Amino acid sequence: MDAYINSDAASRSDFDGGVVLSKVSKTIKGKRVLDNVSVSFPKGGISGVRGHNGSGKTMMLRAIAGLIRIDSGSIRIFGEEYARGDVFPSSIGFLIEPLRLWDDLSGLQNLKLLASIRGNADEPAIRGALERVGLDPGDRRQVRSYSLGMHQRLCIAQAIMERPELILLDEPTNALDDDGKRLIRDLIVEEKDRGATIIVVSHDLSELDAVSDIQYQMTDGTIRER
Amino acid sequence: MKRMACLFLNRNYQALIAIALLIIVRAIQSFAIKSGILIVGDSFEEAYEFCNASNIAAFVLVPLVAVALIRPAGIMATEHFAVWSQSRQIAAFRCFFFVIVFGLCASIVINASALLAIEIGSAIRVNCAGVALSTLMQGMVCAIASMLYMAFLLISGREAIAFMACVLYGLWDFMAQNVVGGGVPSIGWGLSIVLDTTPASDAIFRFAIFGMTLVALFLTIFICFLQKDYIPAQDGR
Repeated sequence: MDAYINSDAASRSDFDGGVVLSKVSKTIKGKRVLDNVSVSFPKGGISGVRGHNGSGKTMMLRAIAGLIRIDSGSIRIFGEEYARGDVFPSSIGFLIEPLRLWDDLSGLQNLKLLASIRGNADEPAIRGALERVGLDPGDRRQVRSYSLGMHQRLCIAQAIMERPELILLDEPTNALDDDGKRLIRDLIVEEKDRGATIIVVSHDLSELDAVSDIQYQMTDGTIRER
Repeated sequence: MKRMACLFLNRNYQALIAIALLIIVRAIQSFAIKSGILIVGDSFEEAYEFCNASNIAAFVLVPLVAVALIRPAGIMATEHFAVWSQSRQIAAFRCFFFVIVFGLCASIVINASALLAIEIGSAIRVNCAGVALSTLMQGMVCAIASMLYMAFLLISGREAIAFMACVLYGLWDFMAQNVVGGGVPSIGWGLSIVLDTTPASDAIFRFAIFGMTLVALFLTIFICFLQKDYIPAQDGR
């Protein structure tokens, strides 16, 4: 158990009201996917998390979003406790694979369908989000005909369309060409400038170096600051 | 309420297909009534029971309910639905509320189309008030089928399994009455036809049966939402 407990950062983020995980553990089918993870992500910043496949990066994002119920520990987001996993963060956008999209609908129709769940994003906001990721809101093609890169852009658009305070991105530049990567990097910085707290998980070191204010390394379900 | 209506109406092409198929079935039934091929006599009860019989429910109506449910159920099973509902409990209650309203609406469409088929197809005098209780009971059956769909979708994460569970519920009820000697108690469509001739105590008993089934299924869905880990199958669902 070599979890790095970043107590200084934790107290700083407690003060700032960022995202603080304290001794979070989760076991799935006998495998400990999160092992006593204690880490803090500063509010209003871009935090990068790197690690090999299966190191627990995505599972940590799922724990922060409340998509998995943690076995022990606590999660504080902007000063509020989410330890039991019954309540979700109030303003969150996330790209955590696999994302459910409907192949027989266009990109705009997919986002409108998802937005109808809460009703926080109106059509201009959805169109704006699509334009920001480089997709044409007027494109009537079904999502099944999208390339992997277009699919990825659509997923990022759904994460930002409601202008959330907390954005979790799992490998956001997967399947994107160089122009696409640059666009998404700029978009992440724009979201930070808007005031959002962003956590980006990636195995692409150059991508993390380009955008993140602080970086962490995940290994076998444990985390430490780099 | 508006949000839940959006959930069903928004881009639900499958529901349109289901309604179109229902219209075709009713047109065939209307022709059968008019021509006297399948039913004899001019009793409204007989014609109604022909249109909404257990075999029609098992092989047509319940599967069509499942088809109409594919999209909204898919949305309610997403992590977005849970997260944007703010809590797992609220997500479960929203889901329950949706399937109840959906069940009642499906039943209204089913019964209205049956009455229309009888009205158009024959000189039989349609008794709308006489089928009010049946509409309510069949709404509960549709809600039960929908909740089974949701429960299996939440547990398995696979639409095909959820669809089959819903369809098998309709089939099981038909089998219980018609195939396995008719001695197996039904808690489905077979109990839902309550006409003027049905004793009040019997109607109350049936209502209670459906009510208890709905409560049991709601608890199942509630626990599913509460305990579910939103992770892909390969990560160990």
